[in-house]
Amino acid sequence: MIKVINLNKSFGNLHILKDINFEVKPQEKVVIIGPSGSGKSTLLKCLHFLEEPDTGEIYIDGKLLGHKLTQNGRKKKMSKSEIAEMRSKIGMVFQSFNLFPHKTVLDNVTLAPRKVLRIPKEEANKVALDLLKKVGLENRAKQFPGMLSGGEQQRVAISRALAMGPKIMLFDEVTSALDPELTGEVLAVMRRLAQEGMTMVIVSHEMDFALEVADRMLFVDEGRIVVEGKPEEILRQKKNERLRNFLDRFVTGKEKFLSLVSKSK
Amino acid sequence: MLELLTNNLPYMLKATIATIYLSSGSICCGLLIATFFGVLSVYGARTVRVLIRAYVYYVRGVPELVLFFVVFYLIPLLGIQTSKFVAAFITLSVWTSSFMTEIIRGAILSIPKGQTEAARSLGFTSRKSAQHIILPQTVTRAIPPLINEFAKVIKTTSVASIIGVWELTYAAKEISEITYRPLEIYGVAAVVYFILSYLVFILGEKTARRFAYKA
Repeated sequence: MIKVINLNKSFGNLHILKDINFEVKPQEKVVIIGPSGSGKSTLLKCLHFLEEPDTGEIYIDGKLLGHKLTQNGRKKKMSKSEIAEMRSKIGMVFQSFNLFPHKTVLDNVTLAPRKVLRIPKEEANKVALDLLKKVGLENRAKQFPGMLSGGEQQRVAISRALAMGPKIMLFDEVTSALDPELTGEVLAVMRRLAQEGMTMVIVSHEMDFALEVADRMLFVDEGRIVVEGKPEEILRQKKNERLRNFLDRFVTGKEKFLSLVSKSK
Repeated sequence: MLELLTNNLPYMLKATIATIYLSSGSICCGLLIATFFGVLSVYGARTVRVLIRAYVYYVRGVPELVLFFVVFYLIPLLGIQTSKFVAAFITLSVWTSSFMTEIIRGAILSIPKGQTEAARSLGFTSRKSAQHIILPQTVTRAIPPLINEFAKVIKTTSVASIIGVWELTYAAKEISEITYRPLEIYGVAAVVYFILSYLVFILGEKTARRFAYKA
């Protein structure tokens, strides 16, 4: 479904992504972990062409992202509207929700279908209310994002992305800005989405969730995919030192507390 | 003192009407230009953006008084015959549009980057995201500083008196020269300007409240 070949991306002098190669099969759930600044967000943005790669190719559903192949086999840059169309097949959910504050919850979800896909208002509203019902927020449809909690906003953001009928969903640390009590409701939505067969690429620090949902995990550090494999292999990793150091920081507060308590005994 | 006022207030109020015409015309025209230029200064082609930046920098760098003279003496050189009032109107419109352009530009750029990212990720083109997502949010942010500019225009109409435009300050000058009571007369003019500005500020606050997001 997704194929990334030799992806490189720099911002000025900073070489953020180095020779990234990986694939995602249809209905596969891939979880990407790694330290801050390792390029995970940039990688997701490249998949969406929100950032343009310096070198390399990204294929979504067999189509080359951002460029068309002419008869001679040469690459021609896609027009802005063609790129926009490709983007609408991929949904993205952001760490800071990015809901439109000047629109109601319902309008947030229906805006893109109506204006980009030109779906008539009644139909768009129906689809939107269904999606909001699935995340438990249909009675908030007429409220504004500012009135919702973080977890609720994020669930609306997920509905908004789903309203475009994407085949792939990208999640960029979507629970990192939430209080721990609120992450549960968002992860529940993501879990159900996974069960329904969506292809998902998730950048997250929620290791429990990754163990549960991921088919494969990638550890990205300093712009490279350092380790790749099944969740159990990655999380019980003993070999790779950087990965081990990274994972050690994720001993949860409760475990730390218990270990401290048992030491003092 | 009361006699002074009752004799001259009607004349000054008539002149105030001219001030109101001049102000409102310049504000509307300036706002129109600024909306156009403001949006282009963010979304336009590179040449256009550079030209607008230059325009904004130069016009803002000249004192209004000098600007009135420049426009006043430039117009006949271009072969156009027009009244002092129109010359003042042009000067004020150009002057205020430079500030308003910057305000609108700043409002657009102050929208968080995440909004654009979200819009583009949903498949909006740059144009559509500007139309439905960015620019509507710009309105709320731009209103308070724009209201401030409106008040500045009202006050700056007084500078037009230097080229002989008949408005409140010019009328005040006329009367104080006849009556030899400048303090009282200019004092009254000051009160009138204050009332006009105050009305603008009140209107501004009401408008700003209407456009605020519910949170």
